[in-house]
Amino acid sequence: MVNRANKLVTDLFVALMQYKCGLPQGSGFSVEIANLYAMLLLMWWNMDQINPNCNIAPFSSPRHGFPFIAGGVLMPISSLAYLDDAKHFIAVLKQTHTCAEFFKIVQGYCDLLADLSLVIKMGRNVKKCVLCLYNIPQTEPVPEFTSIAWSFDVQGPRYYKSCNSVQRLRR
Amino acid sequence: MYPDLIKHLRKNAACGNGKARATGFGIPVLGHFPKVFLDTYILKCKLQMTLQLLDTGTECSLRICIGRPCSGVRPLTIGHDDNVFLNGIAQQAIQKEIAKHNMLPPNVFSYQKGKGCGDATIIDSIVKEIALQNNNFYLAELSDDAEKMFDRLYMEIQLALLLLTGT
Repeated sequence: MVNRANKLVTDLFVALMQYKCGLPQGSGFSVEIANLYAMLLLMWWNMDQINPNCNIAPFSSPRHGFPFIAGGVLMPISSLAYLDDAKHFIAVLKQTHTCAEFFKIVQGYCDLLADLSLVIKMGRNVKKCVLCLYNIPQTEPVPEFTSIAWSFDVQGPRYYKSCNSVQRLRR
Repeated sequence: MYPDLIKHLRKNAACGNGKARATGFGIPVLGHFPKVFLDTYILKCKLQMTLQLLDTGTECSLRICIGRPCSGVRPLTIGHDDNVFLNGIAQQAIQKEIAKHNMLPPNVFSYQKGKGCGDATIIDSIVKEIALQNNNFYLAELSDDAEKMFDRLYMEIQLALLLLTGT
């Protein structure tokens, strides 16, 4: 796209623009690059969220994946991606971890994601970055999850509070 | 790659009338000229693909704003030139290589053969259903939304990602 003559056509005006970065939407090549970005994001999520010196877990056995068993085959599900929409599941067995430990792990993944955003200067839309928690006991207080990520609006790092949604246990 | 290129070019040249303006021409226009014109054009394309150097100054694209149902607009880029055609051929080759080497993990669902957005949503629903039914796991779902992702992928990141594929 560099050195390309770009024309922006709207209902109100037509403008010639200089192309600095990015990918044209709708091109097959952009789809491949976007998929590779998704792969990078999922690989990043496979890092140890607490110890940065640890190895990246393989996609076949990710950290804190949810054990999905179908037809006798076990497949741990940790993340799903469709172009620029990606989500990460963090599953921790209740028998082996306390709720506080689980929250610490979740905060680690929030920080991990924010770090990538800062490194590659990819802004995050705080309204669409949502954290949903499931199977949290009624009595357990849920902390505020925060991170410092790149902001497109301020063109710099910004302090974010996550939009939490908690599914409490009612049994 | 050349057999594909020649096949696509001849197919393009054979379809319809095409348009020619002061700013450029469509490949179907070549179908109206004697065969030597198309042969020369194929030779030029082959040279470009071999040298991996595209013409400069021929590139042209339109970014047309399309209104979104919720709010705002989404730009759609339309390219119409030699380089767009050659990029198309190159991206098909890259796509084939990525699929052949099984580069992408199974949990990337976009534009993969036999996969779609539906698969992602089904897995998503099942995970939540099982987690809530059995209640033996604490589960968190962290949704990420990269802001203006397509516009912000810098050349350096694009090249790093292509290096991952071994391109």
